[in-house]
Amino acid sequence: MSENNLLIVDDEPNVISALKRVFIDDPYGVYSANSALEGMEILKGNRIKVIISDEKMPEITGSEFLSMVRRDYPDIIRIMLTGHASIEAAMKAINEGEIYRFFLKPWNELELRFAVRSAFEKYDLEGENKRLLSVIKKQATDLKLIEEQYPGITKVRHDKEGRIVLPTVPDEEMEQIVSKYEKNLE
Amino acid sequence: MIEDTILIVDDEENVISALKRIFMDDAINVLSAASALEGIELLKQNAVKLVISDEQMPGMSGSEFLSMIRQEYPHVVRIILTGHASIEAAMKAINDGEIYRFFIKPWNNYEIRTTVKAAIEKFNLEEELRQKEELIKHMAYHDTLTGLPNRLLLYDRLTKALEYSQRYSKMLSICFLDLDGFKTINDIFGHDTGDLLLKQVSERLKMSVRKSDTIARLGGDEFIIMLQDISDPEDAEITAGKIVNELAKSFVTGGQELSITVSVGVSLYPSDGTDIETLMKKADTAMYNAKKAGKNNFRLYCSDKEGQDV
Repeated sequence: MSENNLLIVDDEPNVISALKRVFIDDPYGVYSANSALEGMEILKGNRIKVIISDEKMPEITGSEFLSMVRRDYPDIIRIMLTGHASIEAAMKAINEGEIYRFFLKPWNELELRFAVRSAFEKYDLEGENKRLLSVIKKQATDLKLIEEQYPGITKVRHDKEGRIVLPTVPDEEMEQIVSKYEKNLE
Repeated sequence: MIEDTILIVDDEENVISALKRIFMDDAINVLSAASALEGIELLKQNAVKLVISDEQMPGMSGSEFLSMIRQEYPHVVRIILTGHASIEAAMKAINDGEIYRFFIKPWNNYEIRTTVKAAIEKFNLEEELRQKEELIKHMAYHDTLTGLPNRLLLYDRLTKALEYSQRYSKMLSICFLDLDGFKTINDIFGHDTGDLLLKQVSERLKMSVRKSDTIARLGGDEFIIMLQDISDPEDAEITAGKIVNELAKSFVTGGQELSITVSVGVSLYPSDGTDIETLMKKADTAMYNAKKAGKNNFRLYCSDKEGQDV
């Protein structure tokens, strides 16, 4: 099983420790950072799936940080947790950071835990979808290349028992096809 | 080319016409509604890919409307475009509506247009993926030639059907079908004709049983029919007899008239067994007895040793 790592970014240490307590019973690896820059460093070295970020922080704001995350690590699910209840902050977070959830301080513990849990689920689901898509794309490309070399070969024939009937291709010809095909892939 | 359809919901007519003008030069079909309820009706009738909604409208608010869309049509891209909104409305739109964007009036035409076009592109890509996933799932559970359920899906349905039969004390029957002389047809007329005939056989089987019964192809010329929820062994006999008679009628395959018959073996839950393996084995045995008895008929599994080992 891949590890579920959560990153909390807030410039107030007591907020970070309070949030860590919220997730004490959940099977997550919890990382924390006091600033966006520190958060970026943690992202470089660890496989984080979900981020909870404050909005008002010195230097880089939460929505700026989350839009950077969106640009560099689009798969990470982003949640904003802010004491600053302005419509502008919410707009920036959704439009630039494409956040998954927006919460106000003081937070509701249950709501926050539930949101983080579904954020992890969303991460895993989207990862699975991406993997499937790349498999499908690769198969489609492979088939197309083979079909170009050998028209008709991708139409599978079955015998009575359901076994696949393959045309016989001389070894030399097969080698030729394979090497051409490998060149095409490069 | 597939046309992309979007829906604009706003209670102000001039807002709708101004927004429609943004997409004048695009191959986008723009629908509009003056209220959430009207919007819901349009969503039912059209394949909408994206919704732009106002927040403050009489009746249902925009964030409520988009939360509802998220439940009913989770793949539709949701955007709020509002004159003035509270932080509560914005939070509801984000957390319950999982909106893609939140815009404030007056809007920037260029921003709306590029956002919508990018979102539609994303939608189309994801839609393609969803369809391919469906296809992969279908291929994993169905026979590619006839489109019938394969062994995997049959066993899954059998497992569920047996649980159901046990709980409600119902009878269930497995019919094991094996075509008589199919190999000869393949040898004489070729695989293409053989394949075509198998398809025609599967169509005829579908017409011989109830919709709730499962017909599966195990490969080659073997089929299984699961009859669920029967009240009498005679029901299975009637169906088996019907199948034998239906298949004995000639087929016109690829311009030629072909005749094929079938031998059917029938096992019953719970009298012949209570698990899949036993029931399948006994249906298979009964099918062999039908073959031995001259083919083109059906046999019920008979526990009488004499009856089985002739």
